[in-house]
Amino acid sequence: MAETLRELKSRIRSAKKTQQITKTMQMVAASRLKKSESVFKKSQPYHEKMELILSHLMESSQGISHPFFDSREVKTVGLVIVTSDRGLCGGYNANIIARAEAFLKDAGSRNIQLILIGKKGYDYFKTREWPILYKYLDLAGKPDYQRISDITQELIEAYLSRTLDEVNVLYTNFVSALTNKPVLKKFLNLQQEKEGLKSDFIFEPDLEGIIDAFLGRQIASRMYSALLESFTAENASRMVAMKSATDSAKEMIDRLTLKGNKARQAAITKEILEIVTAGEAMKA
Amino acid sequence: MSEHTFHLTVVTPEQIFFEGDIRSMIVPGGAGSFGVLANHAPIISTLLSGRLVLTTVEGKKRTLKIGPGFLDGLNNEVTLVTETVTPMDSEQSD
Repeated sequence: MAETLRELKSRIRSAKKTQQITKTMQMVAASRLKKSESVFKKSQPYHEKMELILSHLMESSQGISHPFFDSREVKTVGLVIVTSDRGLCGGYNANIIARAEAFLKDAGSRNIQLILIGKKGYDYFKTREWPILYKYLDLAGKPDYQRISDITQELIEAYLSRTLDEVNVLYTNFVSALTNKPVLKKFLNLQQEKEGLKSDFIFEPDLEGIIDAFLGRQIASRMYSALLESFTAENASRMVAMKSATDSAKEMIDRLTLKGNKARQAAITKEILEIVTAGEAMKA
Repeated sequence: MSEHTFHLTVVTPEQIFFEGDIRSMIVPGGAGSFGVLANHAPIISTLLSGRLVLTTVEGKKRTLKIGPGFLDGLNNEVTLVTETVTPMDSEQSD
């Protein structure tokens, strides 16, 4: 007998405890997912309307100069990497980091500055070769619009002071509870449309003033939406990871129980055999 | 939608605050307060924080306090985006 009955029993007990923990975490993640998905969905109309106004502004923006419209030589690339603060969420962080590594490899001679949102990304990149410009480790999966607006403001200042010539954001797309994928988006530089006016808008007070005031908010809106989406994906990923951990624990318990039953049977058979043999020997 | 009303959407990053047809509105524009009625010319304006007054289809007035934001109006489809909205005493006249 490889393992005694007692050993098997204690292994079953510990597997059951693990299962209980992962099951609880799965349920917590599921309820967080529901909440963050609803916050994300509710934020979408604002995001869409901001994009709509942007498209109206861009239609009329020929001849307007603004730092965000400049095409400058890109010397320093900012890469914002959105990861989670806590682990146990399956491949969520690993996928983002793998995508970031691929981007950094392709960057060639351009300088890179990292902006890290989330502890997991910071833990990974703090010992790597790339310089970290900013790190935000206190969002804890609860994005607050004001806070994100402040973060965006810092990025915009870095862009205006030419610390960064381009800002890319790497975050996770929430496709469904089962599928998430990392996406990379360029955030700050906007493409001006070359075509003529489509509607004659009246601008109050004037187009330059609006563009100036609008673009910062527009980028904050994009960032807010990206972060909400990432946090939703994180919760989904954690829920799935915990579900599969619960399932594996169940499988393990089944296997160990079977093994335990076999061991018990074998012990009983052996005992009977011993009694019978002893009885036969007495008769002889 | 009758010809004297237009569709207004008020959104904040957290939610859609108001969506529906209204008769008129007065907004705290960046270049001074102005009113919007149906069939307004296409307009994009900055908004200062201040008071937004709506007249609903039924003729009731609603007053909302808004933060800085933007107004976009095109083809009787008016969108007001702002970061904060709080309702003020609605049915009282001021």
